[in-house]
Amino acid sequence: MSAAPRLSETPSPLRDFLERREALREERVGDGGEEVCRLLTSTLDTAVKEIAADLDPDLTVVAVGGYGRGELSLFSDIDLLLLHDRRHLGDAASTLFRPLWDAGLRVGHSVRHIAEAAVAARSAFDIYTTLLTGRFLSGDIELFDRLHRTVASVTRARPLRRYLVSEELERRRRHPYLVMEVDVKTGRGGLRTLHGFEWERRREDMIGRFSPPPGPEEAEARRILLAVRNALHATAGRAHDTFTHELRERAARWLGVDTYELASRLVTTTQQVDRMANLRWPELLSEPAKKERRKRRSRPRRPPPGRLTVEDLASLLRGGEDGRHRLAPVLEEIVPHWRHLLTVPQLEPFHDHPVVAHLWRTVDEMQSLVGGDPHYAAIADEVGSPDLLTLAALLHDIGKGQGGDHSGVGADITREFCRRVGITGLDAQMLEDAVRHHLLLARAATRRDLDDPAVIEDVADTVGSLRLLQVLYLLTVADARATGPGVWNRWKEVLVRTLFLRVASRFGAGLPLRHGTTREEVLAAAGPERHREIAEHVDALPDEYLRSNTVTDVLWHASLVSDLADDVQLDLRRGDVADTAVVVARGRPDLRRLVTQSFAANGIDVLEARMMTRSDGVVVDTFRLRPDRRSGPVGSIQWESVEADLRAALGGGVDLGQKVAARLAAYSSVTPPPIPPNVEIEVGDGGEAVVRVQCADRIGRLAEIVAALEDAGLDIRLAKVDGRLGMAVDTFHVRRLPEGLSRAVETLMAQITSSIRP
Amino acid sequence: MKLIIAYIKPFKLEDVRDALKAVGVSGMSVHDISGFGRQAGHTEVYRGAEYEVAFVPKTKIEILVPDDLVWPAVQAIEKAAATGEIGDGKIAVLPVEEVVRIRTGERGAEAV
Repeated sequence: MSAAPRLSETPSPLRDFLERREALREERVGDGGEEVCRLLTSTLDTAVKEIAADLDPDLTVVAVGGYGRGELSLFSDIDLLLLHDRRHLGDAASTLFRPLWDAGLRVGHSVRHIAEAAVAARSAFDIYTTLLTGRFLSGDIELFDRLHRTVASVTRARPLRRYLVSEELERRRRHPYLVMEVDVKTGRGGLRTLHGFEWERRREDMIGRFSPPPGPEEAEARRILLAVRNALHATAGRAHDTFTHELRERAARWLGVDTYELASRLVTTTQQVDRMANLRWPELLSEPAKKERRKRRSRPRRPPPGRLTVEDLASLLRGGEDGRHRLAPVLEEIVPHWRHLLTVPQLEPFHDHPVVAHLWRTVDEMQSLVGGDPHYAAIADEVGSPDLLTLAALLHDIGKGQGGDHSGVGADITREFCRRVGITGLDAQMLEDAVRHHLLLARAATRRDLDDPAVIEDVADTVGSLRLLQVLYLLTVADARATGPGVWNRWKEVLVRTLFLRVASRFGAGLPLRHGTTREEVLAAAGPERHREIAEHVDALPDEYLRSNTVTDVLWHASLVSDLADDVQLDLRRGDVADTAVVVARGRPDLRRLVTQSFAANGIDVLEARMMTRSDGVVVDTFRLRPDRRSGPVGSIQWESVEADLRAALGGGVDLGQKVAARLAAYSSVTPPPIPPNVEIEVGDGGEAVVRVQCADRIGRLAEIVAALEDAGLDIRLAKVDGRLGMAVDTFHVRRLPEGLSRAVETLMAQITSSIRP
Repeated sequence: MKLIIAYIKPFKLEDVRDALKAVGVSGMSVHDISGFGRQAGHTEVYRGAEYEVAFVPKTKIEILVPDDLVWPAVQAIEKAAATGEIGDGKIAVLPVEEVVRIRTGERGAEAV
């Protein structure tokens, strides 16, 4: 690559241009936009005309493209057409273009016969639009007029609007949301869209139709975009059109404004350009959305905020470009500072979008979570309100640009938002809390020790409920995905997911999801012939039984109870994730110890347990069994062995404790360091108690704890078994403690603790 | 000159950065990484489904330091990154042949 020529070696006509360009780089004139372009254009016009004076007078030099429009920025390409109507040009092209090349200028050059220009304009839209704004510089004016007439004749046959809309759609496909690092020339919301408006006006003029001049909004947008473009060229020293993070500050300095102020003006401008394009070319809005709009024509297009339902809002939010376009004026009414929010940029390098574009994208990311990855979709399903999730996504950063902590400010705005649209009660509180704590999980996951139980406890206390935790989890993921590339990656996903799962476990979400049922539902499903049997079964169990079982479960359990001829009934059902075993048996003090021992003795790990006792003493215990890591689900021979062992143990024929001990000895090749068990007992007002046991997990641990509780005289009503990081964290709800025990909880805790080995 | 590479728990990054600043280290590179050592992965359970994390998220930092800052920097990282629990991480110190500051062309300790 050759070195740039020295200014002193440059032919004098161009030297003036280069000197002026250098002076303008050093110091702008006016607002740095149109005035700079005008000066550059007029200086270059002088230089080109001087060079073109050496050409034959029947040749015509035409400024085309940006130069033709008088929009020459500091390092723009110089687009020139050498137009002729003869067979031989001699060295005319060299005479015109060589000085420009030698001066180191980037020249977009073309040499065309007048007939070729017509063919090119017909065959390629970009050439056609270039010629639309052609400007005569020197030579034969008659030839230029012929070019003008040629372009005009082509114009009638060119579907320019369809081309412009397809170009705009392509820009929107590349950038579905407005970006901070906008390409002010060809990017979404940039000059190219305004050029489209200008080309349409030229076209209308050519075919003799009236076209209104650009309105003040368009003129202002053009002024700002040109100023930013010149500032970028000046600071980069080349034709750099993207408002990159690295150049923002220097570009702002060149324009004599604050970086934030410049970014804000640009954000506002790109949104205005976008909106003007929507109004000028409504076909930009998606086809499905247009159909939807046609369907809704019987309804008011913009219901007053007070009459907007949450469904209306959420539906508009999910309606893509069209929905947002129609929602914007509604939001201006509901959210007092929405207009201001449209001007708020985000200058941190990890933010891809200004605030409002980020909100739109978060809404879309939330949509993709709700209907996408099964993990997130299942959690969204549990939350049970896609509209609430959509609104949380819209509102999470609504407090930005107001000063102070945007989460707290946003929560206050959200409260008012809910009042205006009629969201009340728990949903309103949920939205407000979601906005207030929307950064909690991301911050805690990356800045706090997730292995510290106090951290998990602290996050759980702050969140307060599983449902809010679920909303925050989905919001965290959608927010990060909508922020920019690299903000959401596998690394962060693992941290946030780990935090969520641990806090969720604190809320009891380790247990499988049960939607529960009601007495009426179960009796209806049972039919008249089983009505009495099912009613007796349900009435004999605590209320929690129906809350934690499905209709199918209840009917299954009742069948096992009615078939209970001898001491025990066992049944196993296969599941997608884990198998479920039910044990129905006549109660005896050591029953649960023997059941859990029979699992442990046969290598079956219990994921969770629900232990319930009917008023007639029959126990109905449900166990979710952890699939074996190597062999998968519980095998049929393995299950038969469990059944045989349990029956034998109930009959006194086998010591399951010894079998478990033998298995423990065989499989524990490394003895873990002893961890003292921790037992806590909380006694309620009615004498019922919750026993929480935390100890190192190992083979037969559940059986050992159950034995310890049974030995202490406790009657287990419900058990929640959980474990992580090699620790068993089990919670047992026990029936009313005997009078003596409820007064001596400390003694009871000590007794249970001593029965569990470290 | 030495290149110090440290693998630490992510939440300790700010503590380590502050500690390094306090001993005069002014710059570092930070990478999000995943791996496992003695601290194996872990399993979480949600609604009965297991989520296994085989590779634990860690943060890797790299700093170039002149010879007189090597041990103060290592000690600063060691102290700031420690929790006493398994998985606190590792620190490696590697010799460096040459360092060039691209902007100024400075070389050696001046470029650090």
